[in-house]
Amino acid sequence: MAKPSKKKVFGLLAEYETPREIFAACEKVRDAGYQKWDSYTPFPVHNLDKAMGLKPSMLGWLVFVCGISGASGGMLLQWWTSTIEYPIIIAAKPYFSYQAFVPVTFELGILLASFAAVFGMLAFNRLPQWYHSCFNSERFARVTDDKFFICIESTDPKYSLEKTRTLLEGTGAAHIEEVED
Amino acid sequence: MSKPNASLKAYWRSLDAHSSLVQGSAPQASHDEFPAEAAGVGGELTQLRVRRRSFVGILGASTALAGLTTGCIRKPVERILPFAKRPEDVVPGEALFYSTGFQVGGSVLGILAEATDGRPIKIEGNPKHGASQGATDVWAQASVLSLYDPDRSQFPQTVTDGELVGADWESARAGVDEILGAARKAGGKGMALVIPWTVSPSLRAQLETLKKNYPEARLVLCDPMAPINATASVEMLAQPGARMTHHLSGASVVVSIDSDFMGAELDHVRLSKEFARKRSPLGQGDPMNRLYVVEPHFSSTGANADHRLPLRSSKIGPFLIALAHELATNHGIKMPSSFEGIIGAQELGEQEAKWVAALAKELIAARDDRESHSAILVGERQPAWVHGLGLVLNVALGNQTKSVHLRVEESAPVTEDLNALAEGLSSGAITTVFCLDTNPALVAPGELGMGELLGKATVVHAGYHLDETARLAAWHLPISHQLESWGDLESSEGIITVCQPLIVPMYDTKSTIELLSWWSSGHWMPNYDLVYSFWKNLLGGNFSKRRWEQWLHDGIVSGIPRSPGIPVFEHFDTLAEAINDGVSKYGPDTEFEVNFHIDPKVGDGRYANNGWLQECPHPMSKLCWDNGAYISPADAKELGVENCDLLNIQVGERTIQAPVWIMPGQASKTVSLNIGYGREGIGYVAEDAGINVYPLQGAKNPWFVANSGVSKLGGQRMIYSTQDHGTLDPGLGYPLRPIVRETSVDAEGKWANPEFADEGDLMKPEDLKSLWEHNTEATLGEPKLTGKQQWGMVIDLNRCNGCSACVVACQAENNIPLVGKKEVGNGREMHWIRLDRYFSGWDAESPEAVMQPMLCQHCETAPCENVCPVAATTHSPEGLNDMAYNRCIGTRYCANNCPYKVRRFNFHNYNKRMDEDWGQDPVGRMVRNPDVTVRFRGVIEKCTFCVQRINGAKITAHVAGEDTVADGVIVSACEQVCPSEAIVFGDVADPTSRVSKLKATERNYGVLSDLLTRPRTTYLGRIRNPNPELA
Amino acid sequence: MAAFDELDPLTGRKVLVENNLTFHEVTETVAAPIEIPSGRWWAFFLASLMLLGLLLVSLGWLFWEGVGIWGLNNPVDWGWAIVNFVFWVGIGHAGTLISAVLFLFRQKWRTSINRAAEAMTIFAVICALLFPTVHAGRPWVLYWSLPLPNQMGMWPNFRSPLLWDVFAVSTYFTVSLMFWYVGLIPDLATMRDRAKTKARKIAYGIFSLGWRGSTRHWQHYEKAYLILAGLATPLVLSVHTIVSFDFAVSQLPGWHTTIFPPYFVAGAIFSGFGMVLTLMIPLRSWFKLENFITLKHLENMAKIILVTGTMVGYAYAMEFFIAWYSGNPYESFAFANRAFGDYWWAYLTMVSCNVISPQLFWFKAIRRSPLALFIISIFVNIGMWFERFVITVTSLHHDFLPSSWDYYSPTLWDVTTLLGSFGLFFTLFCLFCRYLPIIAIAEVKSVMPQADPHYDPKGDHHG
Repeated sequence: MAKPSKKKVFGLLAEYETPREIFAACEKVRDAGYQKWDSYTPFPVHNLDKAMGLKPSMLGWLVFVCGISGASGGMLLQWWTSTIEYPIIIAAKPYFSYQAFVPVTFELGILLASFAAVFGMLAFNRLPQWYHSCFNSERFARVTDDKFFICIESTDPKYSLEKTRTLLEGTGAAHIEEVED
Repeated sequence: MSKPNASLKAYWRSLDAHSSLVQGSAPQASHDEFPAEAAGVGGELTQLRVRRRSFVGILGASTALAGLTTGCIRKPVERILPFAKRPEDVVPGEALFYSTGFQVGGSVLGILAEATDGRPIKIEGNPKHGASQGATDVWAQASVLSLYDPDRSQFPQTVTDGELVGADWESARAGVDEILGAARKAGGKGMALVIPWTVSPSLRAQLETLKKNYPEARLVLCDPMAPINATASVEMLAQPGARMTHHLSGASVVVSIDSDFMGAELDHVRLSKEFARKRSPLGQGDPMNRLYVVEPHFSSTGANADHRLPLRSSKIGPFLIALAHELATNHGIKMPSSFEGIIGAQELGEQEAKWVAALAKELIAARDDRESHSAILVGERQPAWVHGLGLVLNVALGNQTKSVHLRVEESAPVTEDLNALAEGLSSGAITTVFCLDTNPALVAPGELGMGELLGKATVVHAGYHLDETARLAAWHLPISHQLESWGDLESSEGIITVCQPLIVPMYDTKSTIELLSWWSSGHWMPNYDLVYSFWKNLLGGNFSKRRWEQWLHDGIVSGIPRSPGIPVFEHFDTLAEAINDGVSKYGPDTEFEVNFHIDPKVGDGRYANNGWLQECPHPMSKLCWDNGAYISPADAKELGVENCDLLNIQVGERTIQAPVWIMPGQASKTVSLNIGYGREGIGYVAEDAGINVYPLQGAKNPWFVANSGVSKLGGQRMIYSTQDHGTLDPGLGYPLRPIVRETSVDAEGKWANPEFADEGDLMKPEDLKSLWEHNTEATLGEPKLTGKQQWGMVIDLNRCNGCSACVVACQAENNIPLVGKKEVGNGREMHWIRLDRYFSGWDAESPEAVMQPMLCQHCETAPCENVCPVAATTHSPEGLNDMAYNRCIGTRYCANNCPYKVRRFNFHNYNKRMDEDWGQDPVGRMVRNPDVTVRFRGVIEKCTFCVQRINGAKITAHVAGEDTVADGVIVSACEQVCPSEAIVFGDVADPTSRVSKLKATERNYGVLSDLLTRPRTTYLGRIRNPNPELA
Repeated sequence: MAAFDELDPLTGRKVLVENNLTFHEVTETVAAPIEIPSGRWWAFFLASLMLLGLLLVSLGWLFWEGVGIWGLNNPVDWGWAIVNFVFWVGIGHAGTLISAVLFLFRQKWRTSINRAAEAMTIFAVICALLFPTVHAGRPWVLYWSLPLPNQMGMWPNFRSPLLWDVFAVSTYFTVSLMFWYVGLIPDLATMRDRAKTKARKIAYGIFSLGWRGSTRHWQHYEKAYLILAGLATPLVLSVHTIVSFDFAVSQLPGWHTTIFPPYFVAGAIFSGFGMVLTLMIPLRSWFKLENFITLKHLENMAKIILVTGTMVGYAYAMEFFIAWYSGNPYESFAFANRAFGDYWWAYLTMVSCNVISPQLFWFKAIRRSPLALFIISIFVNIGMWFERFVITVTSLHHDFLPSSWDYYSPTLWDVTTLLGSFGLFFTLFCLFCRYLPIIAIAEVKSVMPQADPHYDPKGDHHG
C-alpha cells in the first residue's frame, strides 16, 4: 500500500500500448460508472468517445448561429451604408443593388462561422491550458507519440486508490502510476 | 543662364536698387506662391533672387493693371506695390479679362487674356474682333506658357572675349548706341534692320522714322509664317502695299491649291469659322459647300476635303494653268491678252485631267448661281506666280469683293528678302545687322549659309531666347512677351487692336516698340507712352481719354476714318513672264521632291520651347515632340523603310538625316518635312525635339525643291505618335467599327443613306432595356438625376477640322501636366481631349480622313463608376461623371472599363517633374489655373466638362437670383477655342437649348451607345459632299 | 520505393503509409528534418532570402517613384501585377481543396500531403495579397476600401468587384490560416514533448496551447475540423469565382464572359496541384518521406491535373465558340486577336502548357514517374501564369476604339517584382519545413491500419 504523500493526488494514470487495449479499457471504466476521468491518445481513436459514453459536441449550433449573424450583418452593413448613410448615384444603379451585395454577404457569413468553429472549439476544450496535472508524469510525454493513457481523477466520488487501481490493472494497463496535482 | 561673373553681379546690384522699394514689404502672397523655392532653386542663389523679385514685380503689375479691367482704364504706374492696398476690381482668386491682340505671321487675333491674382493664365478669343470672333488657335492658346518659359532670355548679354556674358541695360545702351552712332554717321549705309511681318501701326511709324534718320539703311523681312508670296503676287499685279484676303462665308465651291487655310495660312481662324458655317447641314436639303484640295502632303484642310488630289508641289502650278486653260477655252472665261501662249494645255495625268474638267464646270456653275460663288485659295508654299494666277481666276470668276477682298496699305513697309540680305552681307554692302524679334540665322534657307554670313557682320539681336542669331551677336537684348508689352495690331482686314499688357515684364526685358523707338530715333521711352502718344498724335483733336479707354475695353480701335484704296491690276505682262519663268524652272518629276511645311505646332520654330505645343499631337500624323520625313506608303515600300528608319535626304551638297513617318495621302515621290524642329541650346523643352530641316531649303524657293536624293540610311530615330492604329478596320478580317459614321449628299441635298447615323449599333436604342425602371426615386430603381439642368455636349464631325486648338486649350484650362517624349512613347499622354484621326483605306495612296474629338462621354450609366472600390468616381445630380481625385486610390479599374479610353492615370508625379526636373520651377507653376486641382501621382483624371466653369456660372446665376444658367453662358474650354464651332455644350434637359436642338437632328448618334452607356456626349455624323463626276 | 502498392490488411486497399511503420517511427521520420538541420536547407533558404531582398528593393523603388516604373500604359492599365495576383491566388487553391474537399469525401490519402499543401496555400495567398496592394497608385490610402467609419462619412462602393476581392481573399486567407493552425495543434504538442532545447519547449509549448490528446478534446476538435472543412469548401470555390468577377463584371470584350467563374476555379485547382507537385516531389526525396508521400499520392494528383487541365482546355474552346456564336464583332475579334494578334506567342505558350502537356498523364508510366511529373508540373505553372497574362493584356491592348490601341511590354521592374514574390514564397516555405512538421503526424497515424481499435497485431494480416 503506498503511503499517502504530502502533495495532493490528482488521480491514477494508466498507460496502454494500442488503440485496441485502451478502447476496451475505456468501456470497462465507463461501465464501472466513473464520471471524472478521461483518456488520452496521440490521435483521435475512432468511437473512443462513445466507448467513454460522452455526449455529442454542441459546437455545430454555435457555428450555425454565428454564420447566420455574419451573413445578415454583412447584408445589413451594405444596405445601410449605400442606402441610408451614404446614398450616391453610381452608374445609374439602385442604391440597394442587392445582387451586387451577395459576395460580401457570403464571405462575412463564412468568416464569422469559421471564427465560431475555432474559438468555440477552444472554449469548449478550455484551451489554452498550459498546465495540466498529467504533465507531471514523465511517461505521459509519449501521449503525443505512440502511448495511450487513461486517468481517473481523485475527485471522482467512486474514486478509491485500491478499487480504482485494481480496476485499471484489470484492463491490462502496461503501467499504472499516481499523478500529483 | 550663363554663370554669374563681374558684369552679371553689377546687373544684380542694379536690380537690387531697382526693387529697393519693396524691401521688407514683400507681400504675403509671394510666400504662399513659392513655399519651397526659398530653400533653393537649382542651388543658384542669384537665379533665386531674380525670380523672387520678378514675382514681386508681377504682383505690382497686377495692382497697377487691375484698373484695366472691364470698364475703367488707368495708366499703369511703374511702381511696385504690395497687395496691402487692394486696388479696386481686384478680388483675390477672381479672374479678370483684358482685351489685347495676338499676332503670328500675318494673322492677327483679338484676344481676351485671363489673369488671376496678376498672373495671366489663359487666352480666349475676343468675340467682338472680326479676325478671331471669339475663337483662337493653338499658338495663341500656348503663348501664355511661353510667358513663363524659364529658358527665355532674361537680361541683356554681350560678347566679352568670345563668350556671351550678362550685362545691364545701361551698358547695353552704351554699347549699342556706339554701333547706332556709327551707322547714323554713314546715313545708315551698311546697316540692315531685319524685321518680322509688321502689322502694327505704331511700329510702322517707327520704321518711317528709321528711314528718315538712316536713309541708306535697308529693311529686310524675315518671317517664314508671313504671307510673302501671296502679297508679292498682288503687288506684282498692282502696286506696293496691295493686299488680298479671302472670305468663305458665301462660297459654295472652295478650291484649295496647296492651301492649308484651316491650319497655318493667313487668317486661318476666321477662314475656319466661315468655312464651317456653310459646312454643316442639319437636315436633308440644307445647303453645304464643297471643298476641293490639291496638295502634296495631307493637311487638316485636306482631311476635310470632299475631294482631295495628292499632287507634288511642282505639278500644282501647271495644274492651275491647265484649269485656267480649260476655263478659257471651254467655258469662255476671258484671260488677259498677255497670257497668250502662256496659258496652254499641260501634260497631266488622267486623274488630274479629270479634275480640271470637273473643277471648271463647278466654278462656272458657282459663278452663274446668283446666291453663291466660288473661292480659289492658293497656299503660301506656292510661288507668287501661282497666287497671281489664282487671283486672276478669282477675279475672272467674279469672286472679287465676294470671296476675295483687295486693299492697299499705304503704310506697309517696303522690305527686301533674305536673299538680298545674304547678298549684301557677302558683298560687304551690309556690315551691321539689327534683328528685331527675328532669327535669320535659323530660319534663312540653308543655301544662303546665313550663319556664316552674319558671323562676319556686327549683329545686334533683340529676341525672346538666346537663339541661333543671338549667339552670333555683339549684343543680345531680351524682349518682353506680348502679354508684357503695349502695342497695337492691324488685322488683314484693317481691324485695329490696342494691345495692353497684363503684367509688367517678369524679367529685365524691353518691348519691341521700345527698342525700335530707341534704334530709330534714340528716344528711350516706356512703351505705354509710345503707343498712347502715337494714337494721340494720329487723331489729334478727335482723340479723347474716353475713346482710348473704350478701345482698350473693346479691344478694337473704332472711329478712325480710313478708306483704303482698291488696287488696280495693270501688270499682267509681269505675271505672264513670272508664270512662264516659273514653270520652266521646275525640274523633272521623276526625282523625289522635298517639301517644307510650317509645323501646325511649333510654327517656324518660334514655339519650339513651348511644352504644350511640343506635346500636342500633330493633327494628321499624331506625332509628338518630333518631326518626321513624311513619305507615301508606296514610296516607303520602294525604299524598303519602316517608320522611324533614318532617311538620307540630299539637295545639292546639303544633306540631313530624318526618320521616316509613313503618311497615307502623301503625293508619290515627295518627302514632306516640317520646319521649326531640331533647335539646340534655346531651352530644355526644345532640346532634341526633332530635326532641323532649314539647312535643306533652297534660296529661290524655300518651300519645295525637286530632284533631290532620298535614300535609306540605316539606323533609326525613335519618334512617337499618340495613335498607333489609324483606321476603323480592326483587322483579322473583321468589319469596320461604327465609331465614325458618315454618308454623302447629292446635288438636291438628299443624303445617300438617311439612317446612316443609326446604323452600326449592334442593338437599336429602343431595344436596349435597362434592368431597372428609369429615373425613379426608389431604392430599388434607378436613382433620379435631380439637377434642374442636365449637362451634355454635341460634337459636329462635319465642322471639326482637327486643328487641335481644343487640346491645348484644355491643357491650359485644366492644368494638365506634360509627360515628355519618353512617356508619350510609353503611351501615357495625359490630354483629356484627343483628336482621333481615322483614314479610310490605309493602303490607298489617296485615302479619306476623318477627325473625331474624343473626351469623357459622361455616360449616364458610366461603366467606370461601377467598378471603383472607393466610389471615387460617381455621378452628379446634373449628369456629370465626377472624379474625386482626393478619394482615388489608383486601382485604374475605371480606365480599363472605360470603352472610350478617355481616363488618364498619373503614372508618375508629372506636375512635380515639370516643376523641378524640367526647371519650370517656380515660374512655370504660375501658369496654373487656381480653379482646378493640380493632380498628384497615383490618381486617375479625365475631362470634367470644365466643371469649374459650370459652377462659376451657377454661382453667378445664383447671385443674380436665377436658379438656372442661360443657354450658352457656360462654354467649356474646348468649345470656346474651337475655330469651327464644332463643339456645343449645354443643358440637354431644356429642349430649346442649342445642344438639345442638335441632338434632335437626324445626324446625331452616340459612340458605342449599344453598350447602354447612354453617353451625354454625342456626335453629328460626317456628311461628305462629293462631285458625282469625280466620285 | 516499392514497385507495387502494399495492401491494407483490413480494407484490402492500397496502404497509405508503406513498410509497416510503427506510430513511433512515424513520429521520428516526420520530426527528423525539424530537429536535424541540413546543409541543403541552408542553401535553399539563403537563395530564397536573396530573391526576397530583390522584392524589397523593387517595392522600395515602386513606392518612391510610382507604378510608372512598370510597363503599364494607357489602354493597358493592368499588367504583370494583376497577372501575378491571379496566378498566386490560383496556386493558393490546392491546399484548402486537399484539406477540405478531400476530407469531406473521406479521401484518406490526403493526410500525408495536406499539411504542406495548406502551408503552400497560405504563403501563396500572402504573395497574392501583396500585388493588389502595391499595384494601387496610392497604396498608403488602400484602407479606404474597407468599410471603416471615418470623419469624411464616406463608405466604399460595394458594387465593385475589387471590393468583393478584398473580402473574398482576406476571408480565404484568415480561414485557411485557422484551418492550418487547428490541424497543427496536436503535432505542435508532439514537437513540444520531443523538444530538447528550452527555447523549443517554450515556443512549441505556447503554440500547442497545452494540448494533451484528451478524448474529450478530440471530440470537439474533430467536430470543429469537420465544420471548418465544410465551410472552406464553398469558400475555396467562391474565392476564384470572385477573382474572376474582376474581369467578368467589366464590359471589356474578352473579359465580359459568364464562363469565367467555373473556368477560373478549374484553372486554380489545376495550377494549385501543379505547384503541390513541384514542391512535394523534391521534398519527399530530400526529407525521406517516400513512405508517406507514395507514388499513389503523386498519381492521384496527376489524375486531378489531367481532369482540371482538360476542363481548362474545354473552357478555351468554349470561349471561342461563344464569341463566334454571340455574333458580337467586338467579342469575337477579342478572341481572334488573342490567338492570332500581337500576342499569339503568349496564347500558344498557354495552350501547349495547359492543355497539351497534361494529356501525357493518360499514361500510367508518366503518372508514376516523379521526374516526368516534376517537369510537367513546371510547365503547368508557366502555362497558368501565361493564361492570366493572355486574359489581362490581350483584352486590354485592343478594345473598342482602334485609336487607343497600344502594345504592352514589361519593364525590368515588372520582372524583379515577380521573381521577388517567389523569393517571399520560398522563404516562408523554407521556414515552414524547418520548424513545423511538414506531415500531419496525428492524422497520418489515425489512418494507419493499427490505428483501428479492431486491429489485432496477433491476427493474420493477409487473411
